[in-house]
Amino acid sequence: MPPRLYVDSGKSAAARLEISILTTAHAPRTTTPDDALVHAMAQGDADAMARIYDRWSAPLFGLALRITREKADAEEVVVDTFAQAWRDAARFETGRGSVGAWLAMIARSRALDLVRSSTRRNRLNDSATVESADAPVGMGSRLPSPSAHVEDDERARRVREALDALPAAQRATLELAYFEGLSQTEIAERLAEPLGTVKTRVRLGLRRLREALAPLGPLEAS
Amino acid sequence: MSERHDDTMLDLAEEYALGMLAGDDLRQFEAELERDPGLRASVAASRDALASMGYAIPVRPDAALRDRVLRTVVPTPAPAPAVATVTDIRSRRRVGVGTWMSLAAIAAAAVIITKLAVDLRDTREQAAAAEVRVAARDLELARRDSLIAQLADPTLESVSLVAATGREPAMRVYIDRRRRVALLTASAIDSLPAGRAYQLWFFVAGVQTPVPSVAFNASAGGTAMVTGVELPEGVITATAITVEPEGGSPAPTSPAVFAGSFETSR
Repeated sequence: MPPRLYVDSGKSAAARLEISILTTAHAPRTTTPDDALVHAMAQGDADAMARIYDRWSAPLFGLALRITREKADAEEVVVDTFAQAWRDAARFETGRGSVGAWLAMIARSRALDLVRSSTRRNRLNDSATVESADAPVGMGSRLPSPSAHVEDDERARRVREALDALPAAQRATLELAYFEGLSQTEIAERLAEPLGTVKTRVRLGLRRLREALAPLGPLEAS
Repeated sequence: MSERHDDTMLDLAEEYALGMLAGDDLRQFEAELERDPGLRASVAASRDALASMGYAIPVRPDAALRDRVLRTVVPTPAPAPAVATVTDIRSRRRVGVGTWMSLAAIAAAAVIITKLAVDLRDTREQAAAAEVRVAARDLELARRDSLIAQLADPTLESVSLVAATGREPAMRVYIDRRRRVALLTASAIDSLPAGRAYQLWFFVAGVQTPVPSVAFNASAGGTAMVTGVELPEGVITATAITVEPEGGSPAPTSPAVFAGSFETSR
C-alpha cells in the first residue's frame, strides 16, 4: 500500500498554515539547460556549479591555454573564471547572450590580465603572435602540449574550418584582437597597416565567422 | 558626439564585442544597446562567434582541476539534501553598516593573508575562497532582502488555513512557481525532542503520494525559517508538515500537524 499523509483535521482551529504564491509579473526567459544551471548557481546550488564545470571546463581551459600558453596559468584562469561565475551568477541575464559566451568573456579577461601582469609579456611578444599578415597565428599552433587530447566535436571542427576559410589578414587581425587583447591601434602598429584597414578587417572577419557558424545555432556545450 | 545612424551602430557591434570601444562611442553604443534588441542580438552573435574561436582547441584539463575549482569556488560542503538551514527569525536583523564592515574586514583579511603567504599559488586560492565566501554571504543577504521585499508586496496571494492543535502556532509557506523554490516561516511551534524533526511535504497534481521535502527544527524560541526549498516537478496543489525522524523520511510516518492547499493552481 502506498504511503499516505493523514491530516488531523477536526479540533480547535488555532494553528494556521498560510500558503502564498509569489507572483512575478515579468518572468525572464529561461531557454537552455545552461541558463537554468546558472540560475540555480545564483541560488547557491553547488551541484549546478559542478555541472556547469563539467560542461564548460574543457573549452575554457583551451581558451585560457591559448592566451596564457602556460598550463599552470590556464588552470589558474579556469579557477578564477568559475569563482567569478559563481559570484556573478545572479547578474547573468539570459536575454543578453549565451552562458558559453559569458564564461568566455570572463576567462578571456582573466587570462589577458594575467598575461599583462606578468613579466612574461615581453617574452610572449617576442615569440608569439603574427609573423606576417599572410601567415596567421593558427589555432594553437604554438601551444604547449595539452594534458590530454579529446575528440573534436563538430562545432570545434567547423570553427577551425571557418577560420581557415577567412582571408589570412582578417584571421590574423581577429586573433590579435581576441587572443592578445590588442587595441585596433596596437594591431595597426603591429601589422603596419592603416587603422581603418584594421577596423574593416575586424568587422568583416567577425561577420564572416558569424555567418559560417550560424547553421550550428546558439553556442552550447558539446 | 553626434547621434549615429542605426547602421553605424551595427557596424560597431563587432568592436564592442571585442571590448574595443571606449569613451563616448562606448557610452552611446551601450545606450543604444538598451533600446535596440536587434543590436543586442548582433552583439550576442558576435560574442558567440568569438567564444567559439577560443573554444576550438581540443584540450581537456587534468581531472584534479575539477576538485580544485569546486573546493575553491563552493565555500562550504553542500548540505544534506533533506535538511535545510533553519534561522531564528527573532534574532535576524536587517543588513546594517556593521554587517557590511564585517564583510569588508573579512575581505581585507584575505588581502593581508595573500601578501604574507609563502606559497603564492596556494595563497591565491585561499584568498579566492575567502572572496567567494564573502560574495556568497552578500548573495544570501541580498536574497533575503529580496524575499522581504516580495513579502511586503501588497499583491501577494495568500490563504489562511486552520490546523489541529489548540495552541497558537503559525506557519507560512511561500511558493515561487517560476523559480521553483519555496520559503517556510514558523512561529510558536513546539520544540521537538532529540532525534525528531518537522518535515515539509508537497502534493503534486497527478501524484498519489506526498513528495518529501526538507526536514527542519525550531529554535529554542519556537521559530524557524527555511529558505531555498526546491519545489518538486509538477503543479503543487497542497503542502503539509509532519513530525519525522531527524533527517526526514521518504514517506510520512505520522499524521500531519499542519496542512493546507492552494486556492489557486497555476
